Amino acid sequence: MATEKQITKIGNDFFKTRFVAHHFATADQEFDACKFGMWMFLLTEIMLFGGLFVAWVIYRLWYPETFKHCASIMDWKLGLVNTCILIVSSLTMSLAIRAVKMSDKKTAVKMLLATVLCGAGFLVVKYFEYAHKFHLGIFPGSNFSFDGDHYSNAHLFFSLYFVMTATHVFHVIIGMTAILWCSYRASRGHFYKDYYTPVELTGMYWHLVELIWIFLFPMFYLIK
Amino acid sequence: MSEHDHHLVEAKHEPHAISVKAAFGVTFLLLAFTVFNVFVSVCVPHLLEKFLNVHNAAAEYSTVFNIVIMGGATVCGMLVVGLFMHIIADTPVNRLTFISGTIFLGFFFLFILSDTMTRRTTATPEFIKDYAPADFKRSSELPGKAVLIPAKAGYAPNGEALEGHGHGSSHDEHGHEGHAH
Repeated sequence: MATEKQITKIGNDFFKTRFVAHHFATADQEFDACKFGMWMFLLTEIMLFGGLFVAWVIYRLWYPETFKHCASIMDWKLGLVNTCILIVSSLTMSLAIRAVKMSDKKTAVKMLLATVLCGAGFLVVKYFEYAHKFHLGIFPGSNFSFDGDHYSNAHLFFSLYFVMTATHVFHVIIGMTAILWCSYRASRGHFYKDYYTPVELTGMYWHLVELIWIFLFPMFYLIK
Repeated sequence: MSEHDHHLVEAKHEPHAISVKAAFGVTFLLLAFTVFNVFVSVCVPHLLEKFLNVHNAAAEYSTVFNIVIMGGATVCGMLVVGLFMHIIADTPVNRLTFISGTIFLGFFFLFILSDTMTRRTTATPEFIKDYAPADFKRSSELPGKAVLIPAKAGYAPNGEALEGHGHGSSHDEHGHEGHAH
């Protein structure tokens, strides 16, 4: 049973009072340390995808005709839909962080769940894209067995496509899981204007996921 | 030590929230740049061919289109990092962390491009004659030498099976490179 000191009342809502961890002097110091740690983690993510981007650049330079032709047979409409979905999800995530900072519990939970819904929409579109490619025999690596017109070494383009988009999808799933956890905790009144670090950091992660897709979309669908 | 330890001070933090107007503004810009990129990639080549009689505009101006598209994507990325991820209002050390990471990533590209773009091509007939191994058969294996492999009998260029033909034949029976010659 929570004591009176462990409950904070803001407006009509009750929140679980947050106490600063023992190894920090102030809440600001705790928040800044967490955020700095998150930026360092995001840098490792940028390096992970950076290596894959470099691989794409090399193969794009080595096999320009192949990459142009492969990009032209990609369905840019599905890529555009997914880009719009992720952009909208970034908006809902930003509004969720804003709501948490304003101690607006209901809006925060709604916006977090809307973000998860957008993530699920992204995965559904991706499922249809993958399923159609597998149907046509477009598999990564040596399993590539496409029967239509294609340039030699087309498997390199599609191997990169599968590796990069699957890694991205993996990040989307992790992000959705983290957001669901945040929405559960937000609904229990764990986050309010004085403590919202997990929502802020999850939001940064989600924005990074969107940032990576913003570059993947032109690389595989638009650049010819 | 538990977070409920009452020897600790209660958290008091001053939040900086993005305004609703700014959030919608950034979203609109992101959507606008995305649509612009699609327009440049899909529509502009057709418009150039139709109204300016530019032959094969997509291939002729592909470098320009690609630079414009990646420029648009970079602006989108800056909007996301700057405003959604709040780097412009973040602490100096976080800004420095992100910028130094981006510069480091730039070195990845710099070193790799300075290597691969200054190599001489190996796909010339002279190279093949002088340096290719004795068992060399297919020029399509060399970097930079792309060979168009036409669709198999019974399949459309997009890979869909034509009517009256199924996926009956085994892929193993036909080497893909074999169709090129």
